[in-house]
Amino acid sequence: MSQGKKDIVLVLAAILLLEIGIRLLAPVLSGNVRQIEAMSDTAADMARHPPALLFLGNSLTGNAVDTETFSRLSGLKLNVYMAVPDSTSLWDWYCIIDHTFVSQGAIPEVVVIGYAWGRTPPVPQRLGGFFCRMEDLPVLYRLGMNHFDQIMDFIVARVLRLYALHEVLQKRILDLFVPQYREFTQEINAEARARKKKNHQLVAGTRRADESDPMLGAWLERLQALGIKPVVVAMPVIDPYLLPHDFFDLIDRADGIAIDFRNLPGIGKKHFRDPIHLNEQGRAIFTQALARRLHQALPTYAR
Amino acid sequence: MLFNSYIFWIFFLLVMLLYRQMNHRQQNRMLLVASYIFYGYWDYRFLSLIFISTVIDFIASKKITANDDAGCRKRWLLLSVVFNLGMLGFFKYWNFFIGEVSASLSMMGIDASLPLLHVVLPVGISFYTFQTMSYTVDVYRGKTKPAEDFLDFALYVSFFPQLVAGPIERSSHLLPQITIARHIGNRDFSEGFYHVLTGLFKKVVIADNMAPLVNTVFSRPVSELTGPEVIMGVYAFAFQIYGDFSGYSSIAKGIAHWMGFDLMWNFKNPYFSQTPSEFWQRWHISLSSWLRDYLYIPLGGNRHGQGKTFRNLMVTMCLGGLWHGAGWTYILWGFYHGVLLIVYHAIGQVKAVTRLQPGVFLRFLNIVLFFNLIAVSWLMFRAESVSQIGDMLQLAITDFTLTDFSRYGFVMIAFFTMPLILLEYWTEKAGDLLVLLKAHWLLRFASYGYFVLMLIIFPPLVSQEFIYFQF
Repeated sequence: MSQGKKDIVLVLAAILLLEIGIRLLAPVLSGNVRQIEAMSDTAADMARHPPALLFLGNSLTGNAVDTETFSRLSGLKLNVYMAVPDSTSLWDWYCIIDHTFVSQGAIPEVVVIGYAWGRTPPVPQRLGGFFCRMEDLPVLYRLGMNHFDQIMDFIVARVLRLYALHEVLQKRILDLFVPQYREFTQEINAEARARKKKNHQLVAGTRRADESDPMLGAWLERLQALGIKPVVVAMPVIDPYLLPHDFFDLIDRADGIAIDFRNLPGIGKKHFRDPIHLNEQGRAIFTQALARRLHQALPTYAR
Repeated sequence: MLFNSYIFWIFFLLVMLLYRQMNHRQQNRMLLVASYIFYGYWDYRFLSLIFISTVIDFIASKKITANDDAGCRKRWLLLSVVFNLGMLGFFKYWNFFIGEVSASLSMMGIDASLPLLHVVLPVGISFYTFQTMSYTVDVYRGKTKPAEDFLDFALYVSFFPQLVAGPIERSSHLLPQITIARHIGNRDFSEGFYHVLTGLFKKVVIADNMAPLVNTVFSRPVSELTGPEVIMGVYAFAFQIYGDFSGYSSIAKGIAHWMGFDLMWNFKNPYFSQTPSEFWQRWHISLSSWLRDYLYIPLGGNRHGQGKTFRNLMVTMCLGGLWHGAGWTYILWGFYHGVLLIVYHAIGQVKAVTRLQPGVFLRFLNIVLFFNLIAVSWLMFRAESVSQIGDMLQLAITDFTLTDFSRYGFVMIAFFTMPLILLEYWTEKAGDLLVLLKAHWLLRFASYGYFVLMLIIFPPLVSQEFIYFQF
């Protein structure tokens, strides 16, 4: 074998070994991966115990809702489940509902999502690596994941778990070696975003803050097609934000329930443990308020 | 197309698939088309510029050779030089000079509203204009024969691996490789692979991960920094610019190898240099040798006494600084390098110094000292303004407050750069930049595995453009 071919074989062997290693070790290395894998168990349980209400979201929802308290206070004849993998968004939830839940026969009656900030960009590595499949590409493309690099990132992550998990691994490794890695990296990223925002503000034609969110529309359509009642809760966070200008119309047309908790009475700065996540007290207030609201909004399921 | 983008590798795969099926002449034509597509992908509007430059230099060189009259030959040479420098001057320096003239006139009390233009700098213009000028000058000097075929010459000007950020190839090196049929051996593939893999590693893992540190330090007000934070930022930039530029050159050399071309080495472990002369034989070799052959030596080089030697060094380095960008910081960078060359030249004349045979420890100290002197030059290169240079330098030498942020930065630098430093130390000791290719397969497996692992896990969240694209 020529040296060149040998070198290619060496590199492929290295990638294969690393890929096998990461597939075996991923749940150990990442809490988020464990959360994602646990969703299958949640779906299986849901399939066995209908009817169900599913909280589908990210840490925003996970920190805001106490499912046991909600179940007790809402008085709904629905088994309550939660699937809130960190850092996910509507892009991910769009695929999760089909590939994790519906595929196992777990079709909830109601899905509640925590929504904030409007339109967000997709994270192709996460979509390809964990939640979506190749056949979802045309839909994702139509909805806005249409840059060539995004599509390639999706495909590479679909094939290589190592790439799908690279951000998790990066953080884990640098946490080990670099003092105060997360603290200073967040600080650097925040300064970079501020500089970028300042530069964009100098350029004419900034995006409108309340622009429509096509992903929300698509997700609502999907739930409607599955016969699932959507509930979209605009979440409270410390810094105010605008909702898409057609937020309420879209949800109304999908026969869904829109709840605007951005300025939920009783929630103040002291109820947050960081700029976006509620603390225990905030959680209690939020859960109570949501339970009451859904008790009224879902009379069909009320005990 | 960035070399670390998917679109480039799909483009290159298509080029290679076609290349392998074609004969020599077809390969050249296809590569010319591919090079224009590559360049047009950046901005199609500037294809006309590179084409016009190609036509002018091709005709000028033909006319130079066809004429015996010295005056006529000189006029054709001037046409080429004036056109190329004029193009470079307009796109790169118009606003800078207009701004400086306006400021000077204002200081004299004259309010002149001189026109500032929103000129987009064509990618790679500094590189290909220097490349074509070197060709015309070499033809004039009789050092190289003019290209017979216009399309082959056009490929020499636009060859995509080295078009936008070098190396600046001499016609005597690259043109024959275009005009004569190429053979791709087994060694070409393995060597190319090594260059591509290490190039991507240097760019994506090292340079792009240093960028956030550098941008943070250089965008904060100096009053919010400490001395160690400035030093950390400067060291991070030293590795960012090295990783970025040498990474690009490595990838260019690698993909050229895969097509049977041998591009020159542009970097040879420059941070192991002990003197400025040595540094310029190891850093951006294609530019430093260009400046030596077409500026320093024509000015007189070191042939007319020490005073004129120093003058020539200073002029060459200042213009070399200006080549990098339209700004006083770049000129200051060049001036500083001129000072370093002069000082080391003067020290080198001292008999006691020339008799010294430095041992390992002294060589190590020299390397560390010189790296820090180079780091000072990088501060000038990266700074946003001359006043920032002064403020940061002052802070670096007067304040020694080690903060958590500086510790974070130093460890990040060490984490990303130490393996590369170890690899370069090994190649330095072995006296062979490609020593890894001759190593035991297990060592290659571990090294390549490391590069690949880092490339997959440590691409930064935001990809950075190659620094030298702005030149």
